[in-house]
Amino acid sequence: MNGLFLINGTEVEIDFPSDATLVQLLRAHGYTEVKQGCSHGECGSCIILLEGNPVNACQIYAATVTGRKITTGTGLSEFASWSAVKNAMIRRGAVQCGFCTPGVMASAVALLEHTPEPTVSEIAAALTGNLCRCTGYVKIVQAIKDAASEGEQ
Amino acid sequence: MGAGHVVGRSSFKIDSAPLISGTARFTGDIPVKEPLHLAFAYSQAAHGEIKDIDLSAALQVPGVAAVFHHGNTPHTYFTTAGQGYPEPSPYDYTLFDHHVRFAGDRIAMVGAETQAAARRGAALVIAEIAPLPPLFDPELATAPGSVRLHQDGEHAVIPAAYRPEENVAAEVTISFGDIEGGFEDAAFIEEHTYHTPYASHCAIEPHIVAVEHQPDGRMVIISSTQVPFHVRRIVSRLLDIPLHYIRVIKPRIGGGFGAKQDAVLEPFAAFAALQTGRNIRMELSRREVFVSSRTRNPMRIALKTGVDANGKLTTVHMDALMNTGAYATHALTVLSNAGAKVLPLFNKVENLAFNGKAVYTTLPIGGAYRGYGATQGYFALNQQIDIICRRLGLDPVEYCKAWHIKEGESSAVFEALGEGRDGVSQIIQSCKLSECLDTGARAIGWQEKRGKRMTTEDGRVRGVGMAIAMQGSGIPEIDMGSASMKMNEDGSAQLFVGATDIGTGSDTILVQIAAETLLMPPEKIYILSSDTDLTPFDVGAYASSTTYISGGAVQKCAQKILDRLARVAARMLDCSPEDLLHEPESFRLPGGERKVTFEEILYHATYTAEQCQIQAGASHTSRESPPPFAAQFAEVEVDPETGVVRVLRFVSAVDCGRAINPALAEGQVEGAALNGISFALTEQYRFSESGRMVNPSFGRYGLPTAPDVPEMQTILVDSYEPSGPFGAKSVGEIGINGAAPAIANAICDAVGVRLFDLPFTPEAVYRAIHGADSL
Amino acid sequence: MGVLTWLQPTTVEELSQLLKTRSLRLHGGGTAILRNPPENATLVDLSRLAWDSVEVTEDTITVGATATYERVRAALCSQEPDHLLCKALQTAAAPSLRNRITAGGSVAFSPPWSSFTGPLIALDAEVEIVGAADGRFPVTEYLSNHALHRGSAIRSLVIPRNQGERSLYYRFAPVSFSYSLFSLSVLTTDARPGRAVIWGTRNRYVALTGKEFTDSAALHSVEFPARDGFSPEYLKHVASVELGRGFSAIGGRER
Repeated sequence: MNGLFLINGTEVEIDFPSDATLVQLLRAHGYTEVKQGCSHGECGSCIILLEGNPVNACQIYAATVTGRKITTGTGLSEFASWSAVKNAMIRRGAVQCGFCTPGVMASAVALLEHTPEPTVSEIAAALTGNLCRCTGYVKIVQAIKDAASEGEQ
Repeated sequence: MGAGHVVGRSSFKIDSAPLISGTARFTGDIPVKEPLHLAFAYSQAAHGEIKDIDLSAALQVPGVAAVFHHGNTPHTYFTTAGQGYPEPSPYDYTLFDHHVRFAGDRIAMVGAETQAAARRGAALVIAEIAPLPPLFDPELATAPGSVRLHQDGEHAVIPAAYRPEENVAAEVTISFGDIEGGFEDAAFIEEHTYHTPYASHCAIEPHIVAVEHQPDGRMVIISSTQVPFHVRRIVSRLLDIPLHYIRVIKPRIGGGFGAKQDAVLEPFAAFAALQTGRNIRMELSRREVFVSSRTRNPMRIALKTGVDANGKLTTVHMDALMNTGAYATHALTVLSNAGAKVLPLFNKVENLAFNGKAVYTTLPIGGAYRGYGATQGYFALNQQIDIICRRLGLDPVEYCKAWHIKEGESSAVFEALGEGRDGVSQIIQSCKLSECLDTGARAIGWQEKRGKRMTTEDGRVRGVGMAIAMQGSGIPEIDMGSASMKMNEDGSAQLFVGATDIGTGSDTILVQIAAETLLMPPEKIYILSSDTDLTPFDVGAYASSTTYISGGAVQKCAQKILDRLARVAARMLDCSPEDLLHEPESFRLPGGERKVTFEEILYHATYTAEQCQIQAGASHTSRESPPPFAAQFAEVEVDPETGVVRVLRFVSAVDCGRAINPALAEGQVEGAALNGISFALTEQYRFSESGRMVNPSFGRYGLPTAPDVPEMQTILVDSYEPSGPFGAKSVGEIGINGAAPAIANAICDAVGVRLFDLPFTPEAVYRAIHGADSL
Repeated sequence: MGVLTWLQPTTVEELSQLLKTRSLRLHGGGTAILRNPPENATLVDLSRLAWDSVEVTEDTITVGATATYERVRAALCSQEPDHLLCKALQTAAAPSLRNRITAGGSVAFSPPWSSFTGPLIALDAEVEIVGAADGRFPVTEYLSNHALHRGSAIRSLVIPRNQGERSLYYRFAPVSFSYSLFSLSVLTTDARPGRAVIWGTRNRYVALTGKEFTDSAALHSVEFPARDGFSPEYLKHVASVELGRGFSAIGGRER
């Protein structure tokens, strides 16, 4: 089937299988930063933003999100908080293998857009669905806190 | 030891930015032209003989092009273990077999035009399997009546104990002193049995591989692997292709932790590529990773210790039974390490025996997993020390400080226990474990909390527990790493290393080491790693070898570059190289203004006179494997009414020598520590009566996310290892070893019960407190 | 591999026609369907019906069937942070899944790990249905009467606001991001006897009223299957412990 997708600010018409999930469609069209760690909505490595809200792309049929605003990892720079989060993640050493990172960035940016000054507890809650096996989450949470504090200034 | 020019600083990880922006490429992101997709079909039965395979339905799936099975593949034995050659693991694995040995064992492989079609076809492969008796209990593996798993010509390639006729995949026995006498003379003996279970690495990126045919007939394997050079050799030998026809590239990997220290997919993918002439893509689903890839070897450790009238631990007997599952990859070496990495820690023990057996069972395959036997051994040893201290009325922190191995000391265990051969004796040159103990104890509030059983308003009880560990830095006299470098005329450099960055940041710290040696900015050094065509050899990312061994090679290589730069500089300044003062990116003649920059040297060398490319290569091995040390502390809160245990705080105090990059070193410890905590409390393989894993998903396995993380503190104590590059030791594994025993000890501190089996689920804790039959 | 036929009605009339004439599956957020993706099916994507509103009045919260957990949570928690449903949705799944799980889809699925149906039962919520069965029904009736499912779709949920009611929500899950083994929804006011719903029992749920909470005879009816490595006896024990604690915590009868 055919549909119009709004991905990272670009409108593109795509032919896709009727049973394609959004992660399959995105990856097939070059958005390989959207990862597949489990295909069951249980790891968060496929988290992207749908109208600014984090969703698991592997748990969405592509057919149901035509015409809706999709932001992947490579498109998050449109959000004001992205730059601060990115810099903080780099400074803290919060990126190890990086496989969870695009999903973490999406969750983090969405959080800061909605809650500019989150507590550590709120940050952790926002990351509930982002599995990371490398970092123990410690530096990720610290980085997002840094980014939020930076935003306050 | 303070920070150098760049070493000892938390400089930014080189690949952070592309990983954050999503442009960095993992195996699945790299385009492969018109691949054939492969998918396995598996046995549901735990044990049996394939009588017939019906492929008719599979072959009818549109897009299915080929099916491989035991009938149309060579029956050549090999090991998938990524280890040096000849491997200490037995050759007990073939591509396919008529004998299936666990529920989840491969029976066939379907190749199709899409992944969906391949999986569809695989699901339609029908195998008629005549059942054989299963074997689930490792304690029964060697019993005369138990079924044997490997009786067909499997063999070891090193002279190590391998007795498949008894289901014994490996056996290790060492002893010294007088065990019997030691126990006789002991003031008291403690004897306990500990069990550690199966665990999955849960690297978020599943196992994945791609194979591309080159126009010149060579084969390129792109793989999420920790061991590209071993993969190249394994594929070459198995498929009888000259090694130089194969190129293995490791792009970015989404975690390894030991899961990818085996050639899990590459032999299959390479074989199919050869047979079909097609490019190949293959990726495991998460379920397949849990069930059919590799796991942590479960272990039963019986530990008997004798303490003399002065409270000294004099006699230790560790008896380990390791369940290696259906195939013996890493069996000997993990088993050996349960003793080799653990027993030297208390090196004043006069009488010591370690005997271990690794046995086959019809269960998932145990392989390499962070900690590699030491994790299992420390679970036992640290609880035993706590038991001994409680009996003696001593503080375990002080006890460990008094008795642990110290700088200048050795242990007879180093020499006695190698990995399938004699070990290598070594003298500890750096050990700040006492500082780790003191710092960690202060950080957790040890004195304030230990034994106090502080109770909250709603009846929860708190306690603190501690564990110590040492690991290694590479396998002495076996692990080798190499590096080569070339300088560009603008003063920048290309650094080529075989070393495998699996997310650990080795690319970054190796650049730091080179930059420090040359006194040049790390931003001017471009590193290319883990490409068997372009980078020199490295054993790969395991045994905590990268910082120490690969780093040593980089340091040597950079030093050679420096020497060559100095020689050209000397010609330019008309002096002797020894006269020159090395300064950032330059050399200066002391006592004057005459100096020459790297850029000037390199333009001169490249274009002006006696032209040459300034380049160098170096390799490094080591006679020693200087252990990092750690003391880890847990504060827990136990709810006696439900058995729920929460870790409130966790402190890791680590001696990794001089941390090349403190932030990255901390990151290694933090990730490992959380893995250890969930290994202790929530991770679990659950099996049906017929031996099938019933919870092969992240959602049911028990993995923590951010809200579950306790307050974590990581302290890198000041240390310096003379034999390591700029004083460094490795740090990749050690952080995982202390959590389970520290938590067990903390639970005991809180509620007075001790749990000897992992995981400490709420129900297990409840029953330990109230009695096994209390519900 | 498979072929899905997508129907995307934009009016109730279109939907009603579809419900009458075809064998099809309703798609809210898709998370339930994707647990076991169908090979070939006709799916009715309800997202174009604009059934995603959440209206909070003085007495009632009306939740459209395709309103996501997150939308309900955000609307409710800003106005009524102590509402049972607010507490339940706060810890449901994860933010990304909360942005897809729909209110209607969740009730239609009502798995043992649901964070939603237990609280709805405790709150005496109702479902509004269109199609073969038409009208408002208590959630409890919807769960037990399959005639209400075939050929019908949930249009909305009507939930009493119960201002001034004290509530507690508890879920038993070893780690934050996992399927809960059971949940407890407890409500009490001084004016009304408390009530509790234990969701995830062997027969899906048990509803208890005030004096039954600590009555061991009543608690006998609370049976669990063995689940995720926990024994039925243990789960029952924890449920009764946490029920007692929960009720005390919200000012119920003294322990």
